[in-house]
Amino acid sequence: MQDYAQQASEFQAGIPPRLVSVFYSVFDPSKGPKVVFEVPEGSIISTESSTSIIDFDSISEYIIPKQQLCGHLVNICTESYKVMGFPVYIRDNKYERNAFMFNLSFVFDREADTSSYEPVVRKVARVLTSLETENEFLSKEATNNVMYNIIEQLLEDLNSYCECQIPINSANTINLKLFPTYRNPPPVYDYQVPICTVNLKALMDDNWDITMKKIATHINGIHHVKKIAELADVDYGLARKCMEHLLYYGCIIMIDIFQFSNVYAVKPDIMGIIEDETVQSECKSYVRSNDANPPSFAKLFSLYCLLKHGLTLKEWVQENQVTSLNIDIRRFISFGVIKGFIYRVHKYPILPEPHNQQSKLPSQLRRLLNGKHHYDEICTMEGCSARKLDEILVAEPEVKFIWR
Amino acid sequence: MVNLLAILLVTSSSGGSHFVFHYPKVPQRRDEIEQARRENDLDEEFGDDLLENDVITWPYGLTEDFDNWSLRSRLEEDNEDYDFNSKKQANNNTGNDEIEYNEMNKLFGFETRLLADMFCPKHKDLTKFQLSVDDLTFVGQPVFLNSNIDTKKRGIYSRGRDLRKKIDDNDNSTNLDDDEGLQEQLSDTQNEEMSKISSSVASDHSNASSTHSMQQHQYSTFFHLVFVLEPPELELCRQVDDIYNNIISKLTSALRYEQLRCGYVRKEAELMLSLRENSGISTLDELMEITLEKSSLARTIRKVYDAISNDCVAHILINDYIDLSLQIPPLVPTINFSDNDMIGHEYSHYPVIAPYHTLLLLEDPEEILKNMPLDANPTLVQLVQILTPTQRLADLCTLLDCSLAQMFRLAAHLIYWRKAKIIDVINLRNVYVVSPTADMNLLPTYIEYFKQHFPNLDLVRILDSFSTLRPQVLMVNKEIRTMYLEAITYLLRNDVVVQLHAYILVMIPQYIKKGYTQAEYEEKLRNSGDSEGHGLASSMDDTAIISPFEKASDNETEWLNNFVSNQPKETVALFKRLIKYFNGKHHVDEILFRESLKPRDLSKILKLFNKDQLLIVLC
Repeated sequence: MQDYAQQASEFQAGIPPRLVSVFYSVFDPSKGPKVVFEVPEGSIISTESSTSIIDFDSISEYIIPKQQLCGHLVNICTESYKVMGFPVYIRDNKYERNAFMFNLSFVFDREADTSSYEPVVRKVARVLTSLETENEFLSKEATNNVMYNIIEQLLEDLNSYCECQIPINSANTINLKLFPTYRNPPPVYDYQVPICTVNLKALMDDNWDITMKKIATHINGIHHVKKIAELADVDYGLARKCMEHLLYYGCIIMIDIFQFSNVYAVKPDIMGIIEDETVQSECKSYVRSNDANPPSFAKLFSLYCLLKHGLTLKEWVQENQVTSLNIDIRRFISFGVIKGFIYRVHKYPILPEPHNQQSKLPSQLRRLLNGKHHYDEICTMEGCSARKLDEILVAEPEVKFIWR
Repeated sequence: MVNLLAILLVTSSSGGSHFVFHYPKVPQRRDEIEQARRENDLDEEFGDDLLENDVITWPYGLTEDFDNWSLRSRLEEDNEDYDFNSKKQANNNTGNDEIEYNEMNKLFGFETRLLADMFCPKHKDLTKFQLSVDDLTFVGQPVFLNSNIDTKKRGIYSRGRDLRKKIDDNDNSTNLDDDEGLQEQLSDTQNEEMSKISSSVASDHSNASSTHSMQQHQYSTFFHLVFVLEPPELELCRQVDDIYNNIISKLTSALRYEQLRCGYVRKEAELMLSLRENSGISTLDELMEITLEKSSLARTIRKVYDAISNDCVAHILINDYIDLSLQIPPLVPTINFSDNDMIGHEYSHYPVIAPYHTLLLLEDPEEILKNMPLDANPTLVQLVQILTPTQRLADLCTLLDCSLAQMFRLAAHLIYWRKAKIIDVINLRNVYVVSPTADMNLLPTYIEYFKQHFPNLDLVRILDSFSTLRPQVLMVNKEIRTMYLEAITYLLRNDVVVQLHAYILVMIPQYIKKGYTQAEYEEKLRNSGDSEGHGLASSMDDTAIISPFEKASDNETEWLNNFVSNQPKETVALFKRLIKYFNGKHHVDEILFRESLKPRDLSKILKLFNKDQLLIVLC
């Protein structure tokens, strides 16, 4: 499971990079590749007073490339800049040389993460292509000035507002919005339990996907994904997809199913919270049950430290009289798991080969006993409780358990 | 880890640019694997019965576990089908020859001729080439060999011929004297001139050979080794930097050196091109096979690809002359200072090497020694020979008669090159558990290994016994101890088990920590209880974690000193020495080593505290 703090830092990575320059170039039938408009001026075409940031001639073969490369998103890096463009090749007899080639290129710092711009660059190219094929918007001399204004507005709006809306004519508008790119979420499994990190109900509005709306109301930090799918009456696969979406945007975190038969163990990271007073107070307010006062942090800390291999939660509760302490045990555990200083020790049943073929185990269950599936997974799949599975497996003396 | 798809070699001569070689034969696109997995998911998502008996259609997990192999092979077929189709579409030509031709001349859906042009940048000062087309990123370091020799050619011609003669005479088995001579010339005459010489040599060569060669390649002016990456979102910059700094720039400069020294790249490229254009070879398989057989550069490229795409170290010997070890280091300093500006913090995730640690070799010592260069540090060789994971680094120092600092450097070197990892000395008193990161899918492999190497031990039983925390000594009888320790070594090497350490924390009464006396605190409690009605809020039994030793208040120190007030002098002295370790920052093994104590002495001190005042954490 990913550390919460790590997740948080990754979300900052999603901020779109600054657009340094935008330029529009075409294949001029007589002069070859040529920059027509650039914003800001002087950034691509050198003038007497300033030198350009990019030597257009050295990269022109990637901006106005061979026909085969047209229709692909092409990124070329110079010493310190990255130029992203989508060269377009329109074949038509009406053009001189029977074709029109153009590219609206976006310039960034070389180290910038430009993944959020990729769909935007593709879309602008698509819109311009259809404008050209429909009413020769680009090749007509009359609209040339309009094009400059479009590029200028594009650069300014995307840099300042991360979106822009540029009316072209009565029928067409360029609508662009930058969406931050995050890391792809890890796969979601049926046996995982989502916990909200934000108030999903407050975020929700009428435009949300119906399935997502149905599912979001059942996320309570207790139900696992499969159960949520059943409660919401939604296909299992769709439920997992929704969870992946929520994970992608950091709205939920996944933890394990809370049961008193679970075993947890401490990670060495726990020593880090001894001096971290924010976590300490956060912990105290998170784990308290009702309005009663929680025990001191030192007490909570020693309770965490008493979680160990070979000790189920039930035994831990009994040994330490946890019930008398005004804490919500489920929240106590999930706090530790989310902060990453304790972890669930899963129980993997394994039936070593060669085993007695006459065992009474259903063949489907027996196939799961290969040490690759833990109790949560098997129970969710079979729809039985951990205790029930214990009872079935206790009758099989050959079955061993690996705790990981 | 980088998502390396392929390595390409492009050259250009006055005759134009050439696509020389690529490896592997059919690069595997990342999204093709994911796509197939997703399709699999879709089938099962909208299937009626989620719990079908068929293993393959189970949600997630299993497909990966069971069917990775078959999935991959299926993909390869798909892949070929796909290529096949796209060619058909592109050409509308069903002639067999045409398809074969296309198979050999297309890569990633582009014609190789186009790729060759794409990787010949016009901009000659460029040191780092980076081009992305859709999801593919091509990275390389173009090498321009100075071709502008017409004016000076005559002047240096004789010199060039001498040089050529030398090279020809010695061919691949250049002896030392000549090498020195060459190197001198290299440094003397500046690289530029050298390149003129060698390209003149090259031109000379090719002119000579063109008579019996089918194609008339002029002297090379340029070569470019291009690495094709397909990184997932947000990883582009990191992966490009990783592969460029650690692999591309080193490999390319070695090739450049060899090219300047003896025209190696040109010779190999010509060889590969002539194979490619040989009409006798009709399929890509055949071409790949014969190219790898004949060309040492092709084999070098294959070796680098295989190692880097599997995240290993590539040991290569370019042209039997330049020894290179390439890898993307497993550990790099973090450059992200955003949350912590502490100096040295960039190494915080590095493993700590301490004298009480030892090294666990990840390969057989013979294997490691075999791969070492001939001029390896003798102490390093000795260390690899005598290393056993039951001896501490401090002990090894005395054995090898070197300083601890030197030992640390050797250890760091072995770790950097993935030959060893840091562990604590393996001991039957240690407590082990199954590692939370152990790969359960490899369990059958481990079980099989145990059957072969440790027939008296049952792996599953051993792992089962780790469910409760007990020192190993209690579980193993004497006869099989040695074998058991070997088995543990194997499990540690493969990250199946990890050792737990005991940390000690002293818990101090809350009132002491807050600086009250007992009576004052009682008084305070009573008052707050009356006024706020929270009688339970805190009580006299409440404890706190002891402050770090150097920050402890007088109150705390006094409270601690009370423990040894009636003890003999030695105990008091020992207590004072040890108390600073009881804050959860030092584990027992460390304490014992630092203070050179016996476990008995430590437990004597620990007995002074009662159960509530001491927290012993195993983690």
